[in-house]
Amino acid sequence: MKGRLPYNVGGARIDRSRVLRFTFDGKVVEAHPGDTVGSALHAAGQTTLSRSFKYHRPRGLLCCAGQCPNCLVDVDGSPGVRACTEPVREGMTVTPQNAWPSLGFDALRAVDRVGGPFTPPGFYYKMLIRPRAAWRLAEPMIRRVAGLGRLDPGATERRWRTDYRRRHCDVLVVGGGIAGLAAAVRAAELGADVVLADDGPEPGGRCLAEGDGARVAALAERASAAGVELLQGASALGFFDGLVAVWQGSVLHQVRAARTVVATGAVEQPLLFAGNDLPGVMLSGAVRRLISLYGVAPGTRAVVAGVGDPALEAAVALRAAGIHVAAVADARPSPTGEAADALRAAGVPLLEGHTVVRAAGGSRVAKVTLAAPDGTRSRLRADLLVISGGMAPATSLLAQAGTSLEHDGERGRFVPADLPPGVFAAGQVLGHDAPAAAELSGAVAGADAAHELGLGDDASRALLAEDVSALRGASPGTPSAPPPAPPKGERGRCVVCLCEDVTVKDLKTAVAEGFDDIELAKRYTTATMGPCQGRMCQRAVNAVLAEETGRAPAAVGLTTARPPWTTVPLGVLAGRPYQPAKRSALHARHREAGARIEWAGDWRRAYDYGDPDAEIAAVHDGCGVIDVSSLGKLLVRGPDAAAFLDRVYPNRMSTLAPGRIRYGVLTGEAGRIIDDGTVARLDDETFYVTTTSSGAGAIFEWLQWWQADWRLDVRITDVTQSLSAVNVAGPRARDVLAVLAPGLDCSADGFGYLDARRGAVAGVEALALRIGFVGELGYELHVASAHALTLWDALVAAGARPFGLEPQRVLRLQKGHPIIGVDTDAETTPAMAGMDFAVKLDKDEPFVGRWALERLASRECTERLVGVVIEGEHVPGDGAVVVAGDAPAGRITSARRSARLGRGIGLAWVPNGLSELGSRIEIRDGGTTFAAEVVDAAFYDPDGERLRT
Amino acid sequence: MIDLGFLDPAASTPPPRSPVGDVPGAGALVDRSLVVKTELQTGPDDTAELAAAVERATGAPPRTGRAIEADGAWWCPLTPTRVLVVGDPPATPAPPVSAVTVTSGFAAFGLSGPTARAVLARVSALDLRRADTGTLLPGSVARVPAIVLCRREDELLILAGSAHAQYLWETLVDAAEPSQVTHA
Ligand code: FES
Repeated sequence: MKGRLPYNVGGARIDRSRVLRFTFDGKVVEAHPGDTVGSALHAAGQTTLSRSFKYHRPRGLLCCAGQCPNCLVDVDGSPGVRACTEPVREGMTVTPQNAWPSLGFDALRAVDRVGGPFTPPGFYYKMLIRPRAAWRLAEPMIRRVAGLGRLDPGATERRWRTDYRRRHCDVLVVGGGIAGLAAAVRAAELGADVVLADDGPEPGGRCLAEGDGARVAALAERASAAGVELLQGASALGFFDGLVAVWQGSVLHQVRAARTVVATGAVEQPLLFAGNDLPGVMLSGAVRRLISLYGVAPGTRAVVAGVGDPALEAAVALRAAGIHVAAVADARPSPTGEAADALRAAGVPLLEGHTVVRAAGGSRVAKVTLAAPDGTRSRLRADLLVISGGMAPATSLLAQAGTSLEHDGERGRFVPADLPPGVFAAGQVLGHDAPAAAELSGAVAGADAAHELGLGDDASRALLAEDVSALRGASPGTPSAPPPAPPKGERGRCVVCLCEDVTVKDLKTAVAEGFDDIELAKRYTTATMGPCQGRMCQRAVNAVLAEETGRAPAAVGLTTARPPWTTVPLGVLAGRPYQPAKRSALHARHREAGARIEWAGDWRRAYDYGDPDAEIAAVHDGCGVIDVSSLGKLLVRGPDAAAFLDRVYPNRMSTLAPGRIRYGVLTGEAGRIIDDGTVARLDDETFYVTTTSSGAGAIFEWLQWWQADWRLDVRITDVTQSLSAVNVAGPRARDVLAVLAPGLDCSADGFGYLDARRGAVAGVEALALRIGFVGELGYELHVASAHALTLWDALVAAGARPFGLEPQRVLRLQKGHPIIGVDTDAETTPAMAGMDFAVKLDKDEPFVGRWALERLASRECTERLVGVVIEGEHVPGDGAVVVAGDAPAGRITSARRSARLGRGIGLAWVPNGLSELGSRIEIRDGGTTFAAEVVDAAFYDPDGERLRT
Repeated sequence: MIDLGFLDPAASTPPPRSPVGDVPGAGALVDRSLVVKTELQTGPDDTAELAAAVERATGAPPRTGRAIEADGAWWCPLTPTRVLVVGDPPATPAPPVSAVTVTSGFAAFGLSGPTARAVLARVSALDLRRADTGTLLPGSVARVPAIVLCRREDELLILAGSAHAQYLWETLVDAAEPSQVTHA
């Protein structure tokens, strides 16, 4: 492994005594346990790890911290994995993505060479608009050329399992650096139940590579001893009104904490210069991690350029690792401090006020151009350019939680201004760059959080006061220079957004074209929209826009922080593949009988059993049975039950005799239909109310809502799921029932239309209601769900043929019965739907909607629901448009061809002028026109003789 | 006059099959849906009578969020006017308290063992950290309305609408899989 440093230099995380092997792009690569894919590849001399999204430019390790898009690879078939944080495993297969035919020779790089004029900012708004076919032709090509990895389109199921885990705690700490650890320790030691989520493989953050490893290890030990639940490799994805989603491998934790401490640190920023995305250009933090954690030499001859101490400290670390440092360019006029002194003492050229303006090379940096304060250029040979553009606090989670940000002009960064209740911040995200200050701020945040929860005592409060005053006196660290503006006149792309290949020039073009607001520029150029979520480019976009528009960075601001803060597979968010569904107790029988099961609201129901026409015929000529268990079923009981129902229904229920049933429509306060169903009176104080399937839950709540106001002596019980219900219908229904219910007088006189009876059917105690929705003699049997199968099997054995929802819809359409919510909408009044027979305005009692219904009664309806007979063999689809004078005038709500009637029939909303019987209407559905005539909606057995027989 | 016997599975023949017993092992998921459930209710002005009925049966007044065990039945106050009794039915209450059998209305799944809470946390955001024997938590389990009763430290009873029984069972079996919880 040629890129490894000697045994005694760095490599704290790896076990050099053992070797693992994996493949990259088909070639075997050796690694040590503890390596990441990225560190092993770099050690093996593989400096190009991926190709950029749009221009296919070679990209190598930049941050080595999982923050940028440069090292995305496919690992064992999972695309978009960051090589620099992915631990190596024996035998893993790593494949570069977005390169063709190979990573080394990517023919698609041609896009970089010639594509500029063809890939302008605002591409999707400008190019391939005309002719329209151009987009269709270009799209597959664009998809092939641009992309961030591929999923296997043949995979029908996810290959890995992801579980959700809900975790409640007192304090959640996000970030396991020195500040986060200190916060967690302090809160836990005060008695709080603490969860700490850290995206690194071990706690410690930047301190692990920057000389404070022992300190953070001790804190981590204290955290464990205090009972902190440490989640490693766990990225916080977003803050959702107090819920923080944390992704940890195969688990998505949904953490609900009483208090949250955000210690997400800061993200080191790149610099803007020509060729700033070449492999070999690395952030100072990346270089230190490679050396100290993995014992990898980032390069052999380095130039370092930065705006503050991190660059100088990296130069010191490089020298300590035996790597030649050709020069250090510091944007500050006269850098001071330990690192500067050390470099000067070692004779390293420390070029004050110098900036980097260009990196050049083929597939890796070969030459670096520096600019002196007077503009003179110097060119240096180097295979490594270490850069540091300062720190940008990682404020995304805080911003999502409602924190406002302000611009710190001195340090050129956005920092939290005020934190929302329950949210605390600590460490670099607050601007405490020095580890000691970061630790202190963590302890303060942890103590504050615990104290707010009522934990702690006088001693802990005294300690907090000491910490707060020590923090005030802590050194803010040596100042850094503001990042230099992008150089002018240098050849080569100066990339602002590495994820989306957006350059300084692109942003300038966007501003020139009027997209000068940061949110507009984002959408126009796609800058900040890639996998790094703006970590690497928010500040640079802000700076370029500020310069181009002449506004202050504070006025330009940042784009809205949105989740996810970390790239995450969609499968993780989707959770397990289960969808809530209601099923009746008879569901298994429907499946066994070959039913086509479809969604009907939140129920899974049998649409038909393979032959809807035969099912309809069975109901007309013999006996059919349908599962109507989804109907809402409510018991309304008590001395005031009748009065209660009189108040909610527009017709009278108090006059109903025990054992009798009445249809009822429910209207809201605006007099619009909200539901319908039947009311059966079981005894003086007990009513059995049915509602539509979709309305069951809402009507139960609606009734309770009114009862809470009226406080009548009434009890309402939702027995929808306690009871199953079947409708036995057809001219033979009486015979079938008579056989199975010998104790029940099923004669026309003994059990008449709209009668309710109790009796055992096939041994099952049932409430039998003689009602019908399908136009034939029928009985609705309501039984305890535990016995539904027994009843169903007996009915089928006795000759009742199962029919599904679709045949039922045809049968009810033949009768002109509207379905609430299908044939009506939120504006429909009873009069408009021809249901005013169920409104009794001559009632003495007040009822819900009375005021509105009285006023509506004095007005002519502007449109009505009517029956239509459709000419021809075919019928329009539900929702087809009724046209008058070539303008839309209404719509078809239901239309079917009725085999029994031998014609197409439907229900339609038409304007008043077209609602008269005999009116001719025109219906358009897509390109087809239908002629139809308005008729009485009761198409079949209009006098109801078959129903009442 | 039509009585409410049609609501009670025990009133029909053949009677429903008996509940499945405990499953041995580290943890178990058991269908206890056929355990008798009764809803007691009063009007809004008679809540004191309902509270008195609960106290007579259990020796303790009803408290929100707490279920009380008495004679093998769990008395679960849902609202001041409503109590769900899970277990052998109480003697017919005296007016103004009335009772309705809702056995078939609720699926009831027992989840027990040291990992019971971890399994539930995969499908529910209910906070069980301070739940002890008798804790009663209405809320959402696997995105459907449910009530969780903590029967013992490591034994939960999950009640949900019976129409969701199949969905909820499948979801719980799946959630229990990583914890090696057996089911029956
Ligand atoms: S180098 Fe891996 S994410 Fe930046």
